[in-house]
This record gives sequence, C-alpha cells and structure tokens, in this order.
Amino acid sequence: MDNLEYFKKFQEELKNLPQDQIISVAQRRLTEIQDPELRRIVEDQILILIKISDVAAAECEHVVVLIHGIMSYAVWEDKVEKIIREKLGLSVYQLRYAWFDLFRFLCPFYTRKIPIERVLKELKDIRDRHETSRISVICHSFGTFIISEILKKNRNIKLHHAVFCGSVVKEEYDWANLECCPGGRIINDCGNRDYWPIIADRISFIYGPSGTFGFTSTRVKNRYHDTSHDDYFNDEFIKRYWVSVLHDGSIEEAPARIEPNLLLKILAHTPGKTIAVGFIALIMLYLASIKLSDNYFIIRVWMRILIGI
Amino acid sequence: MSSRELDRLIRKVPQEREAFRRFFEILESNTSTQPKYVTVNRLFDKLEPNSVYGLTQVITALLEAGLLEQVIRIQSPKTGGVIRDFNSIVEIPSTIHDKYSDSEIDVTPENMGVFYRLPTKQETSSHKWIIWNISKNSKKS
Repeated sequence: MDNLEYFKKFQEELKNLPQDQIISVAQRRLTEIQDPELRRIVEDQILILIKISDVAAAECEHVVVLIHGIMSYAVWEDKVEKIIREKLGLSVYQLRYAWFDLFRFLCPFYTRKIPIERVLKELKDIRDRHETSRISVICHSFGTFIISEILKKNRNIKLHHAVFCGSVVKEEYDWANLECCPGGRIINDCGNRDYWPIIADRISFIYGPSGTFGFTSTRVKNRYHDTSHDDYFNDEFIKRYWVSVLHDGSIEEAPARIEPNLLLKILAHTPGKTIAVGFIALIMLYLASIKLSDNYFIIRVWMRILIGI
Repeated sequence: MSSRELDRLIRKVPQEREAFRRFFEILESNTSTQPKYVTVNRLFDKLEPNSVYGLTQVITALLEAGLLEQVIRIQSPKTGGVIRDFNSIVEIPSTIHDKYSDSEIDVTPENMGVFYRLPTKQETSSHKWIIWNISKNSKKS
C-alpha cells in the first residue's frame, strides 16, 4: 500500500470515527506500518487530516462561474450547471452580458469595454457574497478574452481554476507575469477543427488562435480534442474533462493530438490583415493614378463605396 | 539539505509546483526575527494546493527539507495554555494532567494543536541561496 492509499483509507475512516477515538486509531494505524520512511509520511498526512477538517469543509465551498461567447444566449450554461451541481454539489453562476454581435466583437475601439465591465462587476459581487470560497471559471470563446482582460488589469480578482475552451486569447498571453494568476489549474481545451479563433486572429489585432493551437505558457495545460468551436458542451465531455478538474484539480488527459487540417493551417498562415491593408493601398494607388479631371465620376463612385461621401 | 536534494523533493510533486513557489515567496518576505508558527489551515490558505492530499505532499517535502518544523501541542481546554509538546502522535497518551485546571483530561483532536514553525529571518538567510535557487528553478520550469 502506498501513501496515497493510506491517505484515502484514513480519510474514509475519519468520517465515521467519534472524536475521542481518532488519536488512538491513528496511533494503531501507524504502528501497523513497518517501513519507518512510509510511517513518517503517513503520520504527517494523518496529522493534517485530523486538523484540516474545517478546511476540507471550506474546500467544498467552491463556486463555479460560467461565461459565454459572442452571438450566444448561452444555452450550454444550463447543461454545465446541471452536471456540476449533480456531480459535485457546487454553486454555479451563469454570467451573462447579453447578445454581443460580430461587429462589436471585431471593432477595434471601445465596444468590448461594456461586457468586460459587466462581467467584472458580477465577479466582484460573487466574491463579496462568497468571501471564503474559491472561485473557478469555465469560459467559452469571447468569454476567455473577457477573463484574460480582467486578470490583466485587476489584482483583486483571485481565481482558483480557469478552464478555457474555444479561446480567442493570444497564444503568447503572459500568464506567468499576471499579478493575480489563477491559483489552481489553468486548462485550455482546444479544437483541431475550430476555425473561429484563427479567423478572429487573422482579421483583428487583439485576438489570437489559442483555442486551436494552445497557449505557449507552461502555466497552462493545453488539451487538444477533435472538436469544432461548440463541441465541448456535451454530457460526456463535461463529465470527463471538467468535473475532474473542479473536483480535485486532477487533469484528464485528452486523446493523442491530431494535426489541424490543411485548410486551417493555410488559414492560420494567411496574412489576413496584410491582405486587407494591401487591398486598400492598391485601390488608393489606382485612384491616384487616374487623372482627376477625366475620371471625376469614377472617383465619386469609389469614394462613396469606401467612405460614404 | 542541499539545493539539489530540495529540488529532488519538489520534483517529486510536480503538480504542486505553484504551492512550493508560494511557500518560497512567504520565506523571502519573512522579516520576523522570532519563530513564527502557522496552522495547517493557514498553510492551506497561503499555499493554495490543489487538494488536501497535495498539501500533505508539500508539507512532507518541506519537513524533510528542514524548512518547516512540526510541533504537536496539547493545550488546556480551559485556558488554551500549553500543557506539553510532542514530536510524534504515537507518543501522545490517552489522558494527560492539565496543570491549569489541575485535573486529568482526555486527549482529543480538539485539544491537540498541530503547528508548523517557519524559519526566522536569520535562518532564512542561511538558506537563502538554496531558496533563491529553487525559487528561480520553479519559476523557470
């Protein structure tokens, strides 16, 4: 029997022991162990188990917050909440910031501020209501971006586990230098058929394809699945991959990694922003090369198309 | 305890690397010249291990490394005063004389305290190069 088995055995035994028998039973268990090294380790474990009962109870006070992505009414959150409540009995909060459309998602200015502030306000409220509890998050797509922005700018939001799926955060996000990095696991579930993070990365300056290719930081456990952007929310996946993390921080390994298909790889290396900028520059050059007086009508048409004059 | 031995102990529990890092942060910021005692609960809060079992692994490694010292203390249920310290749970008798109430009391988990002594500032500085080394390695990996 190894020390983990002794630990589990005594933990079980402790639940049914009356207070006045705990020490004598512990002494008996220890004298049964012949190996002095193992006895020393098991004794440390037993002492901690005896004294940590309050903390173990507090450990159950674990709150899980769910944050959805864009163009979604977050129907998946109901299913995740139900499973977590049933399997682990934890408190679950569904954080919503209303419908968020593609235009506001891609717009380079200000539009993301509102959902970020709304989620931050709600997180602070949950923190106040569960002061002694641990807060873990499960985020999907744009929800991952919201949490990454909140962690970058707020020292007082302390998370326990952070589970990302379909993430649109930049691959090189600096987890190690966050002032308030999540204390438990940081899990990033990636889909090798998920093209949305790549598209978001290709046509904007603020998103990244970490939901397809993973984060570069060693703080993050990337798991690669044969899934597309919304395939994470089935009973089997939730029970297998998320419940174990939320239960005791243990990580269920994903099957062997499958290469993303050729189309995704091409898409990932398409210089989307360069093409867009080049296209605009070509139009401008074309316009500049036309004699203004001879082509006044054409210029008016182009101006109307480009800037609506 | 050499830096290499301590490193070996930490590597035995890779999933609790963050908890070790937090412990070394506590030591680095320790300015106390008096010995400081912490409870299991306090360590659990400060180190934020993944589980209670994870905490036992971290504490076992730190005890082996000599960076923590364990004290099992029987306290008076009436006054909370120290009756006697023990090194091992096996040594604890089932009853003990409580000098504060002048009576025999049963020893139960309620009047048994388990404390961990953190190194003082001076002791930390004598271990400083080891702590610095390990802290640096754990940040790197």
